[in-house]
Amino acid sequence: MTKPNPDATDADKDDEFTGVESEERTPKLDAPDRRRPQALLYVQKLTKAYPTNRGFFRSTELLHALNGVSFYIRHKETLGIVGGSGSGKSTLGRCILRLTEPTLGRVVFDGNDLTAISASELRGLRRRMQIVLQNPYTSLDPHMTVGDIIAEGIDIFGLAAGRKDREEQVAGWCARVGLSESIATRHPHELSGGQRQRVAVARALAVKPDFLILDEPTSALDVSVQAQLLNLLQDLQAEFGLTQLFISHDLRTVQYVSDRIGVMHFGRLVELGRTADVVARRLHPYTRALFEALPSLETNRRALPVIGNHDDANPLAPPAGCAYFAHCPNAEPGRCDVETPVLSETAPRSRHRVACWHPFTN
Amino acid sequence: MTIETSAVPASAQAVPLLRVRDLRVTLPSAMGVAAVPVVDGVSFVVHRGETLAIVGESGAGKSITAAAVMQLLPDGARVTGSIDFNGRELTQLDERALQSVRGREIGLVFQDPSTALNPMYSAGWHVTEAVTLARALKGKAAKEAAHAVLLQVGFPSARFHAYPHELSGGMRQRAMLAIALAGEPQLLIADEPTTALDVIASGRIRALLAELRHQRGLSLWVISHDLPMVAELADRVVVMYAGEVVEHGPAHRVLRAPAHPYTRDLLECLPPMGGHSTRDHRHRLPVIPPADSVPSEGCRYAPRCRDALALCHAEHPTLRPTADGEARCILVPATGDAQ
Repeated sequence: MTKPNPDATDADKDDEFTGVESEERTPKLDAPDRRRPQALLYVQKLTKAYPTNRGFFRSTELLHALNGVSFYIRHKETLGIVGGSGSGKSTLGRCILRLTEPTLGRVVFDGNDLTAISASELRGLRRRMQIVLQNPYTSLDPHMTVGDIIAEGIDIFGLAAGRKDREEQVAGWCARVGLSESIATRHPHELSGGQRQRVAVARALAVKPDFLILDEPTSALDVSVQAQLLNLLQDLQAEFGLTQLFISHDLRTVQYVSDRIGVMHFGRLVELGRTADVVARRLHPYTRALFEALPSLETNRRALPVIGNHDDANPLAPPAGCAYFAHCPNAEPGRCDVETPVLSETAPRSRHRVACWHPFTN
Repeated sequence: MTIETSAVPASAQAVPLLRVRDLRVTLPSAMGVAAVPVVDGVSFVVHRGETLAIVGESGAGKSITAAAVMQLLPDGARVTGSIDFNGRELTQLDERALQSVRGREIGLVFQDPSTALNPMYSAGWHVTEAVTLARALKGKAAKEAAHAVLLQVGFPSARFHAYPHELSGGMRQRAMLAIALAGEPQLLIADEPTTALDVIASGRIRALLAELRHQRGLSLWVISHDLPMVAELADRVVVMYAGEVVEHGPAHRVLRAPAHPYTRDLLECLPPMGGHSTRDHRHRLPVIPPADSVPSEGCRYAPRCRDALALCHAEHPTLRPTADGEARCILVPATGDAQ
């Protein structure tokens, strides 16, 4: 169903633009390149700013939930986005699907600029982009039966030829995600958390999407249930050739499922690279702090890391320069608190990029 | 730069602070039918100055055990067994005596700080209230004491008047800790203290718990499903499954060389670290079959256990001593001379 699009940019070109202010780095949509497979999704300088009224004089300030985020995801690739609460990860997912309207920036999905097309064109593309949310207790309509929930997209997009076909499709999806067929007549409150999340996955996949956003899909689940769901997601990705954006604060899960990882901090992407590179090198001091805060069974650590105080950072008054300045062991006063670092290659033509004036060099 | 959390020497740990024996809890069922006990014969000890963790998945009975110890179960719950705290039998105390134990001698921190705080009142108000109740302080003295407790948990005094919604998850959890510590308790029960937090906020709360324990000699009882978190914080681990203790022992051994198949399976379910990159050879996580129901006969884990023998389905195993703890599994060799 994914027809080749002559207008798409190539992944290699995309490496050149990094979500910064320079205009000449905008990719050209009419520059095809046959050397590399094109990416399915391009996110370019995506920004979401919320105006906030604070205090007596009502001075309007802008809260940048997303601040110039750029990346691409290749066909059948899983990009993991990791970051703390308030880093903008979920806003990113919502802005890509235009469930939240981005303030600035572009989202190019299979050659279609989602931020420029009409509502009806967007509706057509919606079938191809689905999302699975964190909380299976609130993301399923309690009044609907499981069968109707799974068939919702099938109905909306008219993907069933008659009632019998619809029922067969629902039964097929139940079986495919490991639910018994009898579950279709039940309601969400009768299911366990793991079963609900399987329903959410079945609902998303029933419309045969190309692209799936998974926003903390396993965070509310027990360890054994989480393992089953991760296995299921891997199988489904291989079977349907899905391209995925996997958003989570759980570094352990993200590094397990992703081909590449992007680390978000204060609405910006601060590190981006192949999973093995990011895990091994941890160039950005924030990435390093994330890994060091991760409790480990493997190392038998009996000492806890001392982690800078990130709790009292105020997103409304972001410091000038790098937002991580106040917590950073490598910070250079006069530079890091003045100039905002840009996501750039760590070596010429390196695909591992970091937004830091003084990244770790190992 | 690290804070040492290494355990107090074994000899100094041996004084029991809380001793729970054969605790059984039956919750009232909707239809008035006698329900299966949700906590079924649980025994454990929290020693002075140590950190004990109870781990298990949802429904194992971890939080009910804590609620039973604090005598906070809903009306109609039936509790049998003995709960000895510092030489007093909590099951025999009346409500007034219990009030003085709660907060003053045993502090409690819940999982979700966003629902535990009243949105109408500031963080400072909550802590002042807790200090007023637990230490009978008033006015200025109470306020000063509240500031002192907040200082201990690393809550900036500039945010004393901030409302819960204005605080980050980590800060709310610090406010919760301050409330729990307001009465200067000897034992702190922390039910999933870091589950609602992101990894950095969680790391800082873990470091704070370790520090409080070290500096104040606080005894900690942590309840969690997060095994790596427990590995970092606890001296001893009790693993619960379907209302029973299935394994118990030193944290480093239980979480690295588990004796019980359930503990082993849980640990194997954790995605391995190292960064997966080869797409053609995808690693698969081992699967524990879902728990449909708990069998009335035999080992409760047997239907999900890949090692289960015919005997496992027939005979309910007892909790038997091992070299450094206990295990409820006929496949684990028992030793007679432990303890």
